[in-house]
Amino acid sequence: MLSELQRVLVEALRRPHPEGYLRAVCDDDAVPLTADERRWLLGAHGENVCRAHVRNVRGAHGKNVCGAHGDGLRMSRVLVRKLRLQRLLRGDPGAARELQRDEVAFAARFAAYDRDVPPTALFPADEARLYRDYLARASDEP
Amino acid sequence: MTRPLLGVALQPDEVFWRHNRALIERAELFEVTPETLWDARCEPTEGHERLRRFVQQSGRPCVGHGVLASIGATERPARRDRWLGALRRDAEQFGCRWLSEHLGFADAGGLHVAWPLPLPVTDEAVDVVAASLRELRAACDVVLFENNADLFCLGDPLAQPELFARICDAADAHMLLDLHNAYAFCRNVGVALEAFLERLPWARVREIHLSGGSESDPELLPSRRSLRLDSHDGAVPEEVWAAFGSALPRAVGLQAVVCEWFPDAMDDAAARQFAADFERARTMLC
Repeated sequence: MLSELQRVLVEALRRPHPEGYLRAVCDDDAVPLTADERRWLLGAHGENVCRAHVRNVRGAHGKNVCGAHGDGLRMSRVLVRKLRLQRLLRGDPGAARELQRDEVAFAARFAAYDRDVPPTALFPADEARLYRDYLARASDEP
Repeated sequence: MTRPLLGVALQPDEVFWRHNRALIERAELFEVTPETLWDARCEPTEGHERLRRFVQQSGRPCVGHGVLASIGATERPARRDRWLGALRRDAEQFGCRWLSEHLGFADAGGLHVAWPLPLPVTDEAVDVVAASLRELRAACDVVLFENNADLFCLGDPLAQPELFARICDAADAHMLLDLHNAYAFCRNVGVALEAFLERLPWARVREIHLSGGSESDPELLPSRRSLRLDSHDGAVPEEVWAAFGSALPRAVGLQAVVCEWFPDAMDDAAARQFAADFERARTMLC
């Protein structure tokens, strides 16, 4: 089912190890994915991909997931997080100031925010609202 | 036959304008990205009015381009109707000859990742994209979709052109062929660019994007591999120029070539390179 494949992929990009998550999902028979969709999610690429390329990038990655595929998933995760950070900094001058003031503390706060708050915003203003709500909730906690 | 128009993607950013005034004057066509001119309610921002006035006063043709309509999403995004309404308004206000959208999906399970992700080559994917493009046609009669610089692929990478062709047929749509995206995709997934290009539905290619990109930092991946990124912040690579040269006789319905450079990386040196790439494209078109 394409809708399930899309849901699983988006969820994978929220995980520190997207390919490990996909491997677990594809091992679960209860997940409504076709056999082809499982193979694709695990990086089955067909015979057109240059063998040398696959050999070169396979590296230290685990079995089942082609290295190129795993690298691509990981880099997609990096870009998705980077875009989220950019949205936040554009939408919230306070966050931009926090970053200027203490880069390490801000990075830790953003990582926690990204982990705890699912990405739903498209525009900077929406991302800023989510972030402010998150900070308010966090400051209310004992 | 008249040659394709050579255009520039206008960015709503003061830095971009300051560095590229002369180039913008030489452009024969403009491309605008309406969603970059909206607030969170899809209402026009100040930049929208400035850009609209400029395009109108220039008297030059304009086309619209989008990234985040998520035309491949099986779950119709909640914003879709509002989004289409705003696109319809802007297509009219800017006098867009056509609207293009990136292929792929950025929404699933109620989440939004702001990055169009790849689709597999299936009947279902064709149907979903075709339905979205038919909806988009309510905003503008002519609709295109753009190939992405995907970092991974679901299935055989050389089957992707088949997906493009099937979408064109199912939706009576056209392609915006981004040559740097094609180059980046082929490099990232390990297939030959020429093998990818020769499978494309060339008769449906109406617009070409020319841009550069960058290599990802090897420190970002445990494998220390670099991937090619669609960052629009560098010179057009020689491989892309070669692909452009081979594309011109193939794309018999080509109407526009648009040069792109993002404002984040714009400075004097970047502007000189951008202008040089523009002139090289003009020489190849003439």
